[in-house]
Amino acid sequence: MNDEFEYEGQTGFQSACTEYAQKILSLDQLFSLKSPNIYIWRASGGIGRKFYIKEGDLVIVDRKLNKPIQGKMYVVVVNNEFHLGEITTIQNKTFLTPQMIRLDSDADFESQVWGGIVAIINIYSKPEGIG
Amino acid sequence: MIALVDVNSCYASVESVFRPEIVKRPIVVLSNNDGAIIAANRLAKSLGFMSTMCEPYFKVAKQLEQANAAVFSSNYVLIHDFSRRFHHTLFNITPKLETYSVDEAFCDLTGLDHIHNLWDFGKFLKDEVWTNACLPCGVGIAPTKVLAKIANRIAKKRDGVFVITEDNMKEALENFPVRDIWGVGSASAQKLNLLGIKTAWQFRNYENKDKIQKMLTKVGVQIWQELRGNRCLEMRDVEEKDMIGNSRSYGSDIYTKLEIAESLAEFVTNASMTLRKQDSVCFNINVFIHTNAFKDVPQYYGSGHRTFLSGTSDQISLIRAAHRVLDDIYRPGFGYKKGGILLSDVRPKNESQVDLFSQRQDDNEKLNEVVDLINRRWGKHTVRSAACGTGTKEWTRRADFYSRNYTTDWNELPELKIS
Repeated sequence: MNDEFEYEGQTGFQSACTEYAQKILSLDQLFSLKSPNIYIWRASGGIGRKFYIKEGDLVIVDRKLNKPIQGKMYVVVVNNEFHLGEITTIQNKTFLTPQMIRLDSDADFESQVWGGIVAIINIYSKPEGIG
Repeated sequence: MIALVDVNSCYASVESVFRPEIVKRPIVVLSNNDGAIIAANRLAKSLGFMSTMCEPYFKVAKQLEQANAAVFSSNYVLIHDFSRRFHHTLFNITPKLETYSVDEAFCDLTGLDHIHNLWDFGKFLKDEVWTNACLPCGVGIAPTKVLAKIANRIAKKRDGVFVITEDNMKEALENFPVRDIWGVGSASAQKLNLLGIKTAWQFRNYENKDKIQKMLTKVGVQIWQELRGNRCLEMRDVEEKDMIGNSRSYGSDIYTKLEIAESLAEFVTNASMTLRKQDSVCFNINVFIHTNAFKDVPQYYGSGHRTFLSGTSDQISLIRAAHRVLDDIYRPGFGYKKGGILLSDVRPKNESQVDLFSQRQDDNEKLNEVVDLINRRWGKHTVRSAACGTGTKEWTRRADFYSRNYTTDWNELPELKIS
């Protein structure tokens, strides 16, 4: 399948829409996939029921989003493993949920926010013609 | 002012980005065919049994294992992507960037008048590289390239940033050995030592310009001027290559002409792509093959060339020419360790004359265009000449410790634990 067709005008009737041509929507652009701070990960290890994430989903991560904000989702390195979860504060203690991993300085494990989640992509089925 | 930003132990640092469990372990990266150690992190260097880089791996393999070191083959795909992130980050911040090497860049700060504190700006560059490319780096800032190089060396011994100005010039240069100055080789350093010049500070303050010119030629004078804060070495753009080579040591010795022919076809495929990318043609192709000089086996070195009356960048013509040279130079019975090709007499395509008496060489121009387009879009080698072979290749490089292509292959993305 050739998806690189470029519309160059028409040989018959002049089209009223010629002047209104816009750029094709691009997920590359929407998620800035070419920016040096953007990384693509794959979800693994079960079903993230809380966030509707399934094994194999693509997770787009921005390294610049590394200041934890309550209620936002992050990639966090805990005990040398990368986890995906939400930052939650309960009684002045910071946790990564739903794992309930304590992240503040009194935690049992060293932890570090690696980046913030920009999007989670669940590929339901690949477009026709794409291998 | 010029900033030199240089990644710390780049090859080793890249390997630990998605492997946090190895960050506190010694890490070494091996050369092609896992032959020698070409990069090591600070912990690995501090082990003490690797006298220099390029230590043969087999000599220290046991000691590395005992030290619980993480060992990797060179993953050029991964390095390339992180190098892209590194340079892209600097490109976004500074007005003019010179990509000096895979892990090193000069940034011209001219025009950034709003920077009041260069130390803070250096820290900002360092933090941005860490944030975007996950790589630790050192930043040296100074009025010239040579001084920026020195500042960078000092930065790496301190907290990662060092700025040289007129105020701290003496402090920076007085203990800096003249042999470690960028561009001063060991022979030049010896000549300077004879004049009593042992440090960069002494070289800077040496007043006899004519003597420097006589001893170290124009290059020596440029370095001397740069040490005095006078810019002589300007920011450079990437120049088009006038020779394009591709060669490789084989993973194991190969004996058959067919296998060598396949390897040469692949080398030509790679080199001719670069040639077409810069819109050039070549008039000459050199081919060489040789046995392993370090083994006690019968030795042979063969080389030859073909010239083209009209310049060409057509991979089929070039592969055919390489194979004709191979017909001339191949001798059966030898175990060949290395082969390579060199495209030379490279000229811009529009400046090359077409030979009146031969058929035009670039008959496959459209074909090459389409092949390049497909390979650019779907990945290198998606379409290639059958001459490169299709089966398992014994000659491909050995890479027993190859890491994943985490950022460029959908099937090898890093994994994120969910629950």
